Amino acid sequence: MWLYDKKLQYPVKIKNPNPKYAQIIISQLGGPDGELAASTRYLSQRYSMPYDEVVGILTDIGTEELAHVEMICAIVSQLTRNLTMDEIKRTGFDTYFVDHTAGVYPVSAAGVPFDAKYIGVKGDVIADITEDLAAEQKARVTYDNILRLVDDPDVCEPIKFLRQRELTHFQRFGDALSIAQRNMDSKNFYGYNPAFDKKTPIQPRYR
Amino acid sequence: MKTCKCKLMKTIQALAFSVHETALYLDGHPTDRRAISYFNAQNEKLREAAATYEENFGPLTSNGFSGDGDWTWIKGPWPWKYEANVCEN
Repeated sequence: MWLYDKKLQYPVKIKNPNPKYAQIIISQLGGPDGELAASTRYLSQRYSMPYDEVVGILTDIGTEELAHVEMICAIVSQLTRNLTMDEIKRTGFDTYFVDHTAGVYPVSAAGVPFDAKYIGVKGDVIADITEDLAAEQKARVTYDNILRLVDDPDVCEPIKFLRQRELTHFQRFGDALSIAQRNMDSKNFYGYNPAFDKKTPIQPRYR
Repeated sequence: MKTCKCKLMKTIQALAFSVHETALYLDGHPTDRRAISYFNAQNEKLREAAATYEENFGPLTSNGFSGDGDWTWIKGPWPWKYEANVCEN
């Protein structure tokens, strides 16, 4: 179960609303490499993970990603407060506004709603952990691109924090991969899948 | 002297960050005794700061300290609001 902590992981205090920025940054909520995808991916992968250390890493990073969902929502919501109809029309926010007003709905910057197709749960130790490593790098690139597009320091500060977390998580999933490999058959990591097989090696047909 | 809510929250966020960051590391290195004592020390500081916050400004979790008066858990501004992240003084 989870318990809500009534605080942000890192402060978000944006003086000047800017709906254009909100429309870009919302991709890290509902986009292909966003925080909602991250959280759902890690928390879902736990159930087939055979190693306690890796289950811990998936649980704790998956939980932190929920705090990042909240930070992105805080950024989007502060960037879209007290808008005038003129600002909404002028900035191109009208295409989001017509469906969601100033509510926070998980979509990508291009307006595509969140989709579970963005995540993978393969039920295979190496496939899942390497997906997680790639996911952290893809999220890092998205934050790099946001920082290329945004020049308000109030917005950049929390974005830089979130970008740095992707790097840390990449390191921790690196730990996870070496822990998994230590537990597996070093002569052939692909000989059997410890998330499914009961120690019976897979017999390739061509043998 | 009344404790500044915003300063205390910042302290809690920093301590909670170091506790969480150390926990992530320990998940993959569960026998690192030096990291465990750092975790314990930071966690103790976090508990003290959170207790001071709850006594003065209301609960941080729905099972936190709410006092004998009204139910203060619902009292805003909630964390995602601009006003919750700037100093009131």
